[in-house]
Amino acid sequence: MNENGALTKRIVKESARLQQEPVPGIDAIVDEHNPRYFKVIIDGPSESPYEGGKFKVELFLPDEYPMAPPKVRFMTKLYHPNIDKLGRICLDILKEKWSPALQIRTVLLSIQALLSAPNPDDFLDADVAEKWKADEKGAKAIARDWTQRYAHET
Amino acid sequence: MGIYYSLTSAFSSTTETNHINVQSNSKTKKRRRRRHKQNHLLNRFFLGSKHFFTNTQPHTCLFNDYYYFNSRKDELNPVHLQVSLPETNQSSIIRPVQCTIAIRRDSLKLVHCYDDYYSIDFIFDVDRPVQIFIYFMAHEVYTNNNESLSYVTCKKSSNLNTFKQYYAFDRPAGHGQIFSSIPNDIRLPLSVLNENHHNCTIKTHVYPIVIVCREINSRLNKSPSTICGTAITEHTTATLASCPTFDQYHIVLATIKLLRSNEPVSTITSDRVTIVLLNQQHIYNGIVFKLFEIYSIENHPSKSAKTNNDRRKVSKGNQPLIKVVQTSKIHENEPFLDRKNEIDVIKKSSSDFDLVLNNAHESTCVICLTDTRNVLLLPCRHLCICGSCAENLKFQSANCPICRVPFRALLQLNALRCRKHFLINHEYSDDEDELMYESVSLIDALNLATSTTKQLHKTDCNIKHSITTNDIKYFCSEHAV
Repeated sequence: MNENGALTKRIVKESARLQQEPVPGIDAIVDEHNPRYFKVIIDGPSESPYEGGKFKVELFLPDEYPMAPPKVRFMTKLYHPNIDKLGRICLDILKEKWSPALQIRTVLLSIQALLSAPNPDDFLDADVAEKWKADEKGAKAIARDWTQRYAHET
Repeated sequence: MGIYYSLTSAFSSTTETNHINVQSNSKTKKRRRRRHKQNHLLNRFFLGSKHFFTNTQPHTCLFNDYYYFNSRKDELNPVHLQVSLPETNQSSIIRPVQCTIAIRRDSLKLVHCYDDYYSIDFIFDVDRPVQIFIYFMAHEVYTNNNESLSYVTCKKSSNLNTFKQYYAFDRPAGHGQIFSSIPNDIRLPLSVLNENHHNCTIKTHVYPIVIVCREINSRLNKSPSTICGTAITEHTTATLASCPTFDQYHIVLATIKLLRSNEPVSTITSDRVTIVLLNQQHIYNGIVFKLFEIYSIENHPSKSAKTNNDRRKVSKGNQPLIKVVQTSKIHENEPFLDRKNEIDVIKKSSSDFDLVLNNAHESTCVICLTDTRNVLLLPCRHLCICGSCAENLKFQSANCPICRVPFRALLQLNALRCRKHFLINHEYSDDEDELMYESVSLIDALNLATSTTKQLHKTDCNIKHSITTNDIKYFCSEHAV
């Protein structure tokens, strides 16, 4: 279909640009079998408990993309109030605040920003959020520990 | 500038695209403004599958949130200047609106002369000779039951300021002309703005700077009128002719603001004042059109930008000519130069969404990243998507991709360019529109001043070409939402 052709063109363009001008700290690789599936490695932002970690993220572009948001999930375990045990992410632009003007690049940047600025008020994992609110220092220590333990695999 | 065709259908059909009355103004460099009108020839119009009766429901107007000063009820209605339009019962009308004057919005700047005195510069494009009137501290007056508009300079209360408040100049036709006030000896003492006398605020319709550009009609060679609007009354008969023989006016209302500074400086230094454009109007056929800026029409870098000629350099300049200022922070009641109400300079790429736009290629649709943007979203005025994505978007979303404001209408703007070189080489044909006009991308058309000149230099060096109103036509159609 013509319409889908145009939308695929966008995906091709975005992929090409991600290759040509990679985002610093973010490494996105297209799956060789599925151009809609991306394997991403996000570096933990500096001055955050996730610093030094390499977090694996999978990103899938549904058929409706860019009218619908991409589906993004963390594959690496991490301690974060807005990310649950299954790696699902609570981020407004991946849900109701999605806009077709946003791109893969901007989504990944937003996720990286979420790591630097956790929002325990709009939590996804209640236990983590409670801990984060009650004892931020302790929570950050756990996050740092988890980063050491899970996000440093080679 | 260009010819603008507008078409009004009185009955909307499901199969047919509704065309509506919007004219577009063309041809400046960076940011484009555009005028929208609510009522050109009929007392109602259709937009967003809704009827808008301009007289009975002024507040359903698409743009009511975007008027700077909503307190005035007459803002929402076009103001008629003693010209009664012919009543019409026709179901559909195509009538071009031919705009021959434009003051480039971004080019307006304040120039420091000496001491307390400032003057103004701007760039303008005109197809015909014009008279330029500049008023300082002028009062906007609607007289005869709102049927005529005029500007009257305020009486000076302070004897200290014996400055001239009114200037008039003649200028020939030509595009990209620079109006510089220094050789013309225009001076505004800034201290006059500090005096809060006479209740001189915008609320009382007093504007510190008013620029009126009036087309000089060759057929109606009257002496310059000091009051805008009065001249129209003499020529009411001319308005019925199909070609626009009536006067056109282009009006810029501006004020001066202080920029916020970090240090607690008490003095007003020359780099702390800036000019803020409040309102831009075009009076055509006795109707006042407010001009609005369209967002995301930047002068995208042309592929052959390196071969630019002198004219391009002049018009482009190296520095931004006006500081972008958040106009919403201007309050109607405050004195013009009040230190308590200093404003912040907003950098053009301050918002995160601008980042999105900068990442994309400037002129391509933000959704498909492929086609040229040519659909305008209303009321937010973001030109960010292409026609096919607009068709797609309206079924899947109700919000603007850039600002997430719900859109009420999608307007596709198409530009046609006259093939001048075609006429030179070929016989004239009846099939005028197909042969003489080629469609160009909207953004190219808006930036055509340079590209056409370039192109013609290449193809035909002997012909001196200047772009006039007849070179570009704009058509506007609506994607029914």
